[in-house]
Amino acid sequence: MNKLRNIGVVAAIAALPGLGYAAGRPLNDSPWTEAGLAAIDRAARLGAHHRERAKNVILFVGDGMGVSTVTAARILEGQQRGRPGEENALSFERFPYLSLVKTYSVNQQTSDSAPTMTAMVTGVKTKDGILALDEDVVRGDHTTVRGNELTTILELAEARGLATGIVSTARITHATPAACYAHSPERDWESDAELSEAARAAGFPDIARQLVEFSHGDGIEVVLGGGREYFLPVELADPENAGATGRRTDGRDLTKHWLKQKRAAYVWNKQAFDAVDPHKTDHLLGLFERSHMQYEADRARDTAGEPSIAEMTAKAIDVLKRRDEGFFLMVEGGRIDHAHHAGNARRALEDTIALAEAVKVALEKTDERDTQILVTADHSHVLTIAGYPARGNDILGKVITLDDRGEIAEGYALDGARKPYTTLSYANGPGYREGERPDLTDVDTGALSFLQEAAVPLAAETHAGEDVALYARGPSAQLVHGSQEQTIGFYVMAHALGLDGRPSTDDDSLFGRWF
Amino acid sequence: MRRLRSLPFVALSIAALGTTALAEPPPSVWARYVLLQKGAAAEHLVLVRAGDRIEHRYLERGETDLWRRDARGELEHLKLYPRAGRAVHFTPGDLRTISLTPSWDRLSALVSDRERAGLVAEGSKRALGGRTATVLSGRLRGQPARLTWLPELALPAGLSIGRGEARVVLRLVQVDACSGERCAEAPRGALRVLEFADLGDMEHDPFARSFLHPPHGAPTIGATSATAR
Repeated sequence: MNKLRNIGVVAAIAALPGLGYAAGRPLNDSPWTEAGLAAIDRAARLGAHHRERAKNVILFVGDGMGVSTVTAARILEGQQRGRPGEENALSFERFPYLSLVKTYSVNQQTSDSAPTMTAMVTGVKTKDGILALDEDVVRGDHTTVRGNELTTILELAEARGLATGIVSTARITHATPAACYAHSPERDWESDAELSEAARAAGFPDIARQLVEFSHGDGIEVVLGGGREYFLPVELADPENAGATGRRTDGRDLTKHWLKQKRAAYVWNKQAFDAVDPHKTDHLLGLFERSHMQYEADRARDTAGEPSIAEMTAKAIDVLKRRDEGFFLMVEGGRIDHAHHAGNARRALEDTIALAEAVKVALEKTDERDTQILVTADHSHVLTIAGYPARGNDILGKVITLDDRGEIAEGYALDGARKPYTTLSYANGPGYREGERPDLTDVDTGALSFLQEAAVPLAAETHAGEDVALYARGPSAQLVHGSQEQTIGFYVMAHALGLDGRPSTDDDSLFGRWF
Repeated sequence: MRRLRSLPFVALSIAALGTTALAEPPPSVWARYVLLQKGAAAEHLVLVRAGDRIEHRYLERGETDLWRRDARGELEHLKLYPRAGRAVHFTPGDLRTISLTPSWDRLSALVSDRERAGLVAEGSKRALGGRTATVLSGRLRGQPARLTWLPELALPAGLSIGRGEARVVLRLVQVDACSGERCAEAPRGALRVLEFADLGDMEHDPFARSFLHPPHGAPTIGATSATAR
């Protein structure tokens, strides 16, 4: 039965134009595919009357947005609106379907963004540092790439004729967005300057090159994020930052390559971004920072002005939805992770709230009947919400508990040394204080740059290995359920877009072509 | 066990204390200091002050801390490690996030106006080539200190902090106006520049690991910023 199923998949894939696959090659021939399709089989037996096919799919990824981050950001957003906060729900928390996904990679108990995003967009788990290549690749060895490439959901969508886009507040060549379009044995090969000598000598394309030279379908339509210097040569001055230049050593200005496309635009600041007419632009490239974009909390201070992640999402949808066949869009809140590494919870939570705003924009601009939206994280961080703070206690503040009558206690909860402590803390990171714990009584722990205390001293806080949540809405969202491998996201998206070769049970006479 | 303070820690710790800016920009200089501590080998620091760029060059270890200030006063920081072929770049946002926001005048003069104002003048003397220096004493960062200040150059001719075996002495041994190659920006064309924000995801990289997990006793970025607060 499994072989018959795979034959059907093979036939469907062979029929896709421009995919570059030899006839007879299955969909990512891997044990992960068997398990993923089996999981879909089980899920399909639930919610039999839900629509399966989507015209559009939007995947939101909060990099490092584990469950504790979501909970804390939910409370912070609620408190910013003048409420206790715990009862609040971020936009995506109202989605009807939810799963926990396991983020381990082939060789890591606690993973990094490269294999986790690879799992999400290809349906196959791989090793640390690897982008859209399977586990037979050796990290950093370009000679092991051929034959081990994995097809991504973005590539499949392009081959099917959909419009595609990627948006990130990190560099657009960073691991999470890069896994959508690039195949690299090393996530750090973002420009030719980072390639190993051997890879450079062999002409292996760096990640930025793979973006602008993307050859599936008619090319990626929308690319918005940071990382400008990875596209510009070292001989060229950066337009925003005096004294800075590009970092490419091959002399190439990849933004010029982008502009060769029909009705293409390249922008690098807010004013130019706002001026882009989505009805007249077919290929939009926006690189708003030399490296990563600003944290949301700092965005107003940017030199040339940056759009928010919500604004980038809106513009992307406006461009992409002109495509009659539909679109695939990936949006990443890429700096939640960075703020956690710095041990700075407030910036991480503000960026999480900004991502939730972007999801809200997507909800407003799309129709649940024809658009599947998934929201998830690649991995978690070691942020904890601890103590017994009373309902409505400042999530960024010090713990105030209830007294023995269940009323708000007088004063802060105290540790063994009679000192207060915050609700939020990290298991490790730069917030470690040497010697005795500080007395936080008169410290503004809600200050933007306050570093929460950490139990183990590390200059950078680490990822965490627990499961992350996957929220789903729209066609085939009902397939998201239970405890799953992180690869499930790919199979849910592929099924919704009809890219897995499996028939839909949708009754178009009931729903119409779309609705 | 007595903990020896490294030169970068001293320079950065001093520079990290908040203060008001100088009323007029100090002259561009190239200045070489020697750092002396009992029980430790002498280290040399070259301070380059050139407009909106300041460099602290640690000669023995071959490393440089470069600070730039833009038109809005925002700081940008680059740590150069030529022997490792690497540099680490801190954006203004990174510096704010880890509370590493030293004042410009402290970076450029090692001692701020406010700190000097907190010391008591004891008199004047001649220093380094016959320049007039003001001698001040009092406490800096909670420790007894003695400063020999060159107002013409807005630089210490000498600075002593602490007492006994923990005492650290910084002494100016050479100073020139900033010109030519000597004050050109420290070269980094051959260095691979890493963003500070990326280091948390680079546990696999030996350089990033050594940067994030320095030897016991050496300051981490986080520890420095926490201490400076």
